[in-house]
Amino acid sequence: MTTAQRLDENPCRPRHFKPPPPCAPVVADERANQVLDTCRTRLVATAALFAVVFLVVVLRLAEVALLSGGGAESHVGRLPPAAPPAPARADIVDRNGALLATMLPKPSLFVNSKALLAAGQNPDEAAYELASVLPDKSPGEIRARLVSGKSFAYLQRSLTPRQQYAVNRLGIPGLDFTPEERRFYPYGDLAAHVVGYCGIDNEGLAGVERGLDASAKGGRQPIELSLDARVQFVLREELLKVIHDFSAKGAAGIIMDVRTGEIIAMVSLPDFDPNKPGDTDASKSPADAKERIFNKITLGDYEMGSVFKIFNTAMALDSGVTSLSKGYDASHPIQIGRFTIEDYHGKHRWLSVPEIFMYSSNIGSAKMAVDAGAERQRNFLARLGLLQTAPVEIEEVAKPHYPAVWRPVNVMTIAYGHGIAVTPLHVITAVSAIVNGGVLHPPTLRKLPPGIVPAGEQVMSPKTSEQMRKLMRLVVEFGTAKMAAAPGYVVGGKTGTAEKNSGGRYLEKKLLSSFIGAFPMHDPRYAILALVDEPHGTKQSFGYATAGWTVAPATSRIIQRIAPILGVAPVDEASPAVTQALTIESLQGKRIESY
Amino acid sequence: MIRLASLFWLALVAVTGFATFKVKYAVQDIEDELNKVRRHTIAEQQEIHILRAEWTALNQPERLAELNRRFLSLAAVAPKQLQRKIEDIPLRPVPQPAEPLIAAAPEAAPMPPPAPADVRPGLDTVITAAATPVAAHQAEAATATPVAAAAKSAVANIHLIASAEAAPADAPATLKLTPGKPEARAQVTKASPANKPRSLDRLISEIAQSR
Repeated sequence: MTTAQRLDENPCRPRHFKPPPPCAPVVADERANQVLDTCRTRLVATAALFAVVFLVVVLRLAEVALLSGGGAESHVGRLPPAAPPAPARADIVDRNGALLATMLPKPSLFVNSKALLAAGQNPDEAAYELASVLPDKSPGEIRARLVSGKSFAYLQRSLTPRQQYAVNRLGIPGLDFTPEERRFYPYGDLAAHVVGYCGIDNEGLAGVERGLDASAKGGRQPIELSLDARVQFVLREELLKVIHDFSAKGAAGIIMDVRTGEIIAMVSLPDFDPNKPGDTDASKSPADAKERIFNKITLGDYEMGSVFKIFNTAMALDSGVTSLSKGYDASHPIQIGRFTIEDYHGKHRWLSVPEIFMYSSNIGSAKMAVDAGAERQRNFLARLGLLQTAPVEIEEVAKPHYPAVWRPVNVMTIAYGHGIAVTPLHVITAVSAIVNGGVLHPPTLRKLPPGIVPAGEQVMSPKTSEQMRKLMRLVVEFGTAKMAAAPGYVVGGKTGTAEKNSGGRYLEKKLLSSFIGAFPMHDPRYAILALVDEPHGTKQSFGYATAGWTVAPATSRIIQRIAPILGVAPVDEASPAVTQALTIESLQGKRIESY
Repeated sequence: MIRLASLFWLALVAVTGFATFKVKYAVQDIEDELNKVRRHTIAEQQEIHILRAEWTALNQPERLAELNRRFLSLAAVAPKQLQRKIEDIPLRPVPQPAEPLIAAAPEAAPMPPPAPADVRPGLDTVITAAATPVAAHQAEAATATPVAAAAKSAVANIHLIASAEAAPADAPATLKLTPGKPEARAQVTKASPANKPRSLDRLISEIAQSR
């Protein structure tokens, strides 16, 4: 009894633990019950808390051990990245991956004078050693900065990697570099006008650098241009030769893939070094910086002269106004208003359309244009894109100049390329369309994936294109451009010699001689345009400064050199396949007066 | 009993703790290494970038042209040097049999040295033999037959030596590639005794297969 009593007195006794015998009187104690309840609740709460905490631990363990998640990743994230940081501007490469522009680290060297002196370095010795590495600084200048006592003083900005290495090798304490990047153009002036150049803050200021500024800043993927540096070099070298041979003021050339509109090479001379665009190298040419930076191909609006007869003849043939067997009387000059239209190499007789083209007859061309009418002429030129700004990736493009009102005299002069000024880029784009079967592709400086032919616009019938190919071949075979022939490559084209227009007057002695051609003519792959600004006749050219004597031979040399690079195989020009594709039936059996 | 269990658990805790620290430090070491490798990679990549720029600058077409002018004087490829297909290249004309020409040559021609056994001089002899007639025409020599014989034997020599060389040179080279594989060896030995004149295409495809 006493035991039960004692047990019952214990307030924390679990309920199931030795209950008081039934005989014992139940002591109804309110207070004791309350205490018991409280204890029980606390116990449960604590147990639950522990259970939750242990559950969390278990779950976390399972996550780390089994699901391989958790903190491991965040740890790796603190490691340095596996690739160098993206450059400030993407590289620019040519179609074969040759670097045209890239970012180079150009660290600046500075000295912490305090550290240098504290390390016990002899400043005279250090200055002398540094001066041997930094050629444009004198030892005295360097010494002054070494002993300045400042903790930061620039010794030299924009070091080359070689200089940086040399400075490091000296092992002078207290020297350090600030990381900086500069744009570098390894090929120098080779493709200056296409690639353009950058400002001090690496912002694109000209050429592709400006035109594709957004994608250059965008990332590390290089910008692939359609240019071929090797072809570019050949073109530039031969044009330099033309300038030299004919003491010309300048020259320009462009080569285009007629099937895609890709620009393979684009040269404008005199040019500049994009690494230092402001500098002028007087040893090469006396031109000033502004003239060098001017891109003749895209910014130069020229009255192209007889080259326009390609467009005129194509227009007349395509509209059905005339045909290869028809012709016009070119025996007398045309008088219209105050103008007299004459032939430079007059035949003074009736000329068939192929002859008009071959002998470059202004009279015949003008009559052809009048036959077709202003409306047709204007529409055709517009279709070829000659009346609007050329859509290309660079921003230095000029608007063509043409009469607002297309009067009869304009119709006549435009027929032979006067009274309308377009850029050479316009001309080559339009001629590419004329020879490639009549499909106009907008010019582009970006490389297209191989095998991809962009959709173009059919601007004339394939038949007209075929006829034009024959006519252009005729000019090289028998006409004004015989010197442009490159054996094996079936060149065709048209020369143009225009007098430069200055303030509304034509200057007889200032010529702009140009040649536009394509090869191989039976299946055109590439179009080429070369022009030379103010050439002077030489003994070798018998005093002539016309296109046939200046740029045509250069074009021949260029084609012979670039065709193997571009993978154009030479063919036997007398083979039936070639002659059949390029024979003009209406001329068969007639004697062609050699020109 | 309780003591034993406690000891077991204590030991386990100690071992686990030790292992944990061990792993931790190992991981730290690996991380340091990774860090270093990554830094090196970046430095190397930047180096490559600079070298690439330098390489391009050194490959400026203008500079290459100048170097060519100075050291090689190679000319641009002329159209006639380019042929469309391999069949377009004309075969070298078959050399005329030496006997009649040399036999016609008069007496006192100096006798060319007899064809040595070595292959390369043998080749030379063939060329001289082919070239002799022009010179021998004016100089007089009737002792032509030995020359012709020498030339003939030289040709024979070349054939012999060429074929003799081809067989052994071939087999070990291929064997070296697959030293541990008996099947491959069997194949090679099967192929080499036949020693047919193999075309370039077959050779290339064989090399491709052995890779």
